Amino acid sequence: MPQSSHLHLSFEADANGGTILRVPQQQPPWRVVRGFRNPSGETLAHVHNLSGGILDSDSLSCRIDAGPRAQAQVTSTGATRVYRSRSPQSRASQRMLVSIAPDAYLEYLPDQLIPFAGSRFDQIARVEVARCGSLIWWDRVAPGREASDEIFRFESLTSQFELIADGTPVAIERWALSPRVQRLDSIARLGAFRHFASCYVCRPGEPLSYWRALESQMQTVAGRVSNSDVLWGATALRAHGLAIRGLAASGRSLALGLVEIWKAAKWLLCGRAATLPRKIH
Amino acid sequence: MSFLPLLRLQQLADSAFPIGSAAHSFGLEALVETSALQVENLERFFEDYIEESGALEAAYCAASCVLAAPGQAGSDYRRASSALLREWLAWNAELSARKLARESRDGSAAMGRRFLRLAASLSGDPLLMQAAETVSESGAEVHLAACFGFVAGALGIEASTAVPAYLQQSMTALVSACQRLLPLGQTQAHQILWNLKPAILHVSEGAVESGGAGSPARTSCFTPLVDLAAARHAGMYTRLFMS
Repeated sequence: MPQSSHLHLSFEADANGGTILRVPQQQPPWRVVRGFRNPSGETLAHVHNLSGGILDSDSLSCRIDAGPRAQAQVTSTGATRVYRSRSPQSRASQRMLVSIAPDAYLEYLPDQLIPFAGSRFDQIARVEVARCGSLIWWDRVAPGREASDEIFRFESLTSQFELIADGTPVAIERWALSPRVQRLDSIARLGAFRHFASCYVCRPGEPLSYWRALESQMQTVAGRVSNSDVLWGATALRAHGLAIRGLAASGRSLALGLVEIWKAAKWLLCGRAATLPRKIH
Repeated sequence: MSFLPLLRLQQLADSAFPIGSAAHSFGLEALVETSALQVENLERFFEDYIEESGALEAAYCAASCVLAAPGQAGSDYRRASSALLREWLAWNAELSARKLARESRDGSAAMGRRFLRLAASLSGDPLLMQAAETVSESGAEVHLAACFGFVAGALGIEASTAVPAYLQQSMTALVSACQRLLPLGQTQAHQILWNLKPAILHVSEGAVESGGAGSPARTSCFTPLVDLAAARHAGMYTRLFMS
């Protein structure tokens, strides 16, 4: 039987310009202790998974609301490990629903997803950003436990990501990976790279010319952090945002580049210096 | 099916149909620049590309073809066709959101718009005329895959014929782009296109099977290296193609 677990985080602006974290619902294995004020002004929430990873019976759901003027940063406490599935019927899943109100700002900066050998996992995320709300969202996927020589030995990994800006779909990703039947090292897919990451920057209301200019600035950053081990590219979405994608041979080089991308994007979008979630120091 | 729709389809799918397909490489130019794409791995690349990007475009082509097929608009033609067009434009908006790389998305939309306008003007078909007018007035992005399916459907061509024809012309354009980017001769290029037919048919059959089931949004597509290359193409110093 799938084990359903729900987490609901609600960030609300207070009268003093700060942001309060409320947790209306949390069920094991989800656990959020409290919010921490970070130096760049956001309230930081660490999302723990007390079981240490995702089991094949897990059906996790997480809702994050950033209310009007709330400033929030959400991260995980470590890599999301997806454990081996016992049978084709045993699929783990995680569903996220995120809403960002006008003048709110949310950064979602989780650690990498590591699908173990034999795992089956479906992740779904839908992010809705209201006019004048702002978002920086990243996600990273590793090929498996590289130290144990598990490179693309999971059974299946699927992902659906929808970014809705001011009521309009501006970015949709939907992919399904089954390394047994797909050539993931094809030039049409990952080529020589093993790790991949996406970063989305969104603020509904800015004109296309704003995003074209930001694309150009982020392309310069992407070029600077690219090398023979890692490749980055930035592009304007159909409206209201930017997508930045990275591919790397190693997780470390991807993570380092992603931090640089995020810092630059945050500075250009909000004029604020980025503060890494404390756990990384 | 009579020969007339097939002859029309042949014209629409011809690389000489003036929609600007020779101006786009959809990221392949940047892939060649990084030396990732070479003559030696080209056929294998296209086989996988058809499984991913091809399947996505085939899904929108098939669904659009079924949507525009005669009889879908019913007896209250104008009202029904407006509803049908709303649904079709929503699919196009969805496809725009799935095409992350700006240049590739813009290229696909520019070709789609030209294709629809030209097909409407050549055929005089009332649904296509209305679609072209709606697109022109609203400025909505319409993509080549969806337009090809829509036009084929309106002209009475079945999805099982239209979808492989679309993929065939799409692959022909990309292989032709590779001839300008790589030391790829005519004979070798045509051998690759010849060898790709089973992959085209396989993906087309899948798209047609699910094409009547409404929105093609469920189709998956995983081409991160091509997307990344397409994004980097905009920053290339010297280039032959617009995307």
